[in-house]
Amino acid sequence: MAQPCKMTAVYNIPMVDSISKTDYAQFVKDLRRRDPSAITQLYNTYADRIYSLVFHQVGRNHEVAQDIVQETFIAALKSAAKFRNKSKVYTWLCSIANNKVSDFYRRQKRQDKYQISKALEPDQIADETLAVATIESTERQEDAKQALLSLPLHYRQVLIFKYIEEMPVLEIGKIMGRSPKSIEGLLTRARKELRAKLAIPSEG
Amino acid sequence: MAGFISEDEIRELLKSACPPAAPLPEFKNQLLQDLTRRAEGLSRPRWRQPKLLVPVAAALIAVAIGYGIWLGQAVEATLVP
Repeated sequence: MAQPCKMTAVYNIPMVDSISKTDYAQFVKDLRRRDPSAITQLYNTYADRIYSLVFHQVGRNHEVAQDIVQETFIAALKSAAKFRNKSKVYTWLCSIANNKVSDFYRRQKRQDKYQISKALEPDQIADETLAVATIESTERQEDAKQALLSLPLHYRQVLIFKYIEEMPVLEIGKIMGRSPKSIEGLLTRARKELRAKLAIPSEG
Repeated sequence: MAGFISEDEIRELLKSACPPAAPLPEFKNQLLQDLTRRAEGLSRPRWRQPKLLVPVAAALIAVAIGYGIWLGQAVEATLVP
């Protein structure tokens, strides 16, 4: 049974986008102090979103996604004191998660611990984790899944941030450590590659 | 152009190909417990953190023992004519 968390403060943050400035400021302040209730709130607010983001980046592998989400939140806890509030909390978490995903693929390349084909195998292990919408997968959707998974990691990441997370280019830049112009270029190349994978003529 | 895929179609395709996923509840609970435990350790005042508390306690004990020995010798010295 889950151990009840010690809550010393309750923030009114059901979703990040709708929180009041005062609550948010207090939340950030407590987060930087690594107050357990702020950490709990951070986790409860973002864990599912971060999991979903990572899950699709690593080819929908439940086990790998769990490891990376765990590493992400532990790293966030360790570096919370350094959070300077220059970006949104979610952007900050995404950038940690993004780095962890890149680290995972670097490690994988070096150690060959996890086979890439296994990591990219769609839906076999993780079917039960798709909490929302076990949508009837049409042939077109399946093609899109495969096309996305076969793209290089940075293309996959930028497409996920842009079209699934619906983030502005500026924010994607903060997460990926690139300028907005560089992100635009990356997006153009990623779209072109995706269209090619889908065997559809690209624009221009 | 026949078969041309627009940006909106890319968005739609990717959204349908990548529906929101959620972690298993057991994993979520376990990680939350772990984070809370770590956070409680990190949010203590510095002097109460085990990393500092152990050497400080050891130093205090050593000083107390040293003082005891010194006091014993001092008392002995005063008693011996």
